[in-house]
Amino acid sequence: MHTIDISYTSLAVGLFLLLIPAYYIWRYQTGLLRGICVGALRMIAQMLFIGVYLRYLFQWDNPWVNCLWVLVMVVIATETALSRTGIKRSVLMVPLIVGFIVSSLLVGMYFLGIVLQLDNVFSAQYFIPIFGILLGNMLSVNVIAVDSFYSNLLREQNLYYFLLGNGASRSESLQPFMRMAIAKAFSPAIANMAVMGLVALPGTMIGQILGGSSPNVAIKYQIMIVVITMSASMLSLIISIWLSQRKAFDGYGRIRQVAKG
Amino acid sequence: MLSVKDVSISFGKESVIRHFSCHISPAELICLTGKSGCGKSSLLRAFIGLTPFNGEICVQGIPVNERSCESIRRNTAYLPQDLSFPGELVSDIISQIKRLGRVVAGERAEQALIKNLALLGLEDDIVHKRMSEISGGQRQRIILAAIALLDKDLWLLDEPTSALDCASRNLVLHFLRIQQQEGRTIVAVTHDKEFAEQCSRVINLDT
Repeated sequence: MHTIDISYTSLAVGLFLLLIPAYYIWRYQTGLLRGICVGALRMIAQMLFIGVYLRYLFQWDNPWVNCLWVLVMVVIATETALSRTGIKRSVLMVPLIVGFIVSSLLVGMYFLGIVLQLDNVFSAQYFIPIFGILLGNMLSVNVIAVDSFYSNLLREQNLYYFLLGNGASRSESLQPFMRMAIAKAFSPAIANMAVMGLVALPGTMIGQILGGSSPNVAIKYQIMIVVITMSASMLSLIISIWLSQRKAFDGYGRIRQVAKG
Repeated sequence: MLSVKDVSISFGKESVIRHFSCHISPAELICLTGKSGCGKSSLLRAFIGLTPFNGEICVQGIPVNERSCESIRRNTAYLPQDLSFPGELVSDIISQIKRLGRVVAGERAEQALIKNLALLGLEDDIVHKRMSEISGGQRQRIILAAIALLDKDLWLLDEPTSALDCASRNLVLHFLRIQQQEGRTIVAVTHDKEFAEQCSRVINLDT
């Protein structure tokens, strides 16, 4: 199968569709007009830039360069997560970096080495997109989960101190907050997974089919993408929250000043 | 049971408790009173290391510090103000509290819970209700009834009657006296003068 290219003129014509959401955002005075304009411009610039560097990454196909690129993605994901949560950098930075690296390596390598059985797991064609999709999912899950965990803990600290004061260990006292964080972060993914293929056709699968793969191959990849993103997201969330507790609590189990500002 | 020597509590530059000392014997029902912001709740929490303090606090002869606080808390029942629980049913709250200590096993726990609820003026079928169907005062009494199932020697209660009317407050007092007679030491923070008058001793933090 041959994929039809989109010319830059056609792309510009296609971008006119953005006028529909922009109009209603302006019409209902949501205050998001500037956001959607800046967001669209950033997306275009970033995607054009990705086109350039992916070409070179694929051309060089060097394991060290690929690993370095994943490290750069980890740093960007960490910075983005730090800016989107209301928690201090000193509490979250190291836990997020460790969580992202450990879980993406474990799950990514399991998929590339054991499931796909690649001879070269660092091959740019697989290594870069797989780690990219893992980090993208881990980022959104971590932002929701960490924010939910600490905001619920600060709001409902009487419950935490009730459990702690009645003899529960720190980790036992944190269980209700962990439960809420996991439920909030994973409910959308679980709901999507249940209707995948019926209500929505996922992006990876569509991309592969448009790129010339058979639907059969695309489906198998899509199933694995859902599985690895969920596994890596859960692992990174657990690592990040667990490691952040070292800075968030004192030796008595009391909550330290963790919120920004 | 509880000895407090030269304890000071401050938050930043603001000092709320200065060089406070007291001794509380086993099976006493003590009331901590004082103006709002005088440090009553902070002192109560300091007894189990939940508020930073300077000085020395000993529970059953054990100094409260980072290493001992967990074992001290295992023998303590602590009820903070304005406690809300996740979960839909009252029975969820009771199950969560029962996991916090050693409970009388099997059917006896059920009977003890029904007895405690009755002493606190609550019907036994309240455990099947939704949290949204009960009042703040009922929630306070349900938590007390469940805490009493646990084998805890020291009770620290922060405003246990704040959401109660006069009749319910008297039921709580009667219930606490029963616990006291069974050998439990109870320290309660309160603004309620009539409640304070019924306790075996009042410690006023304003003086």
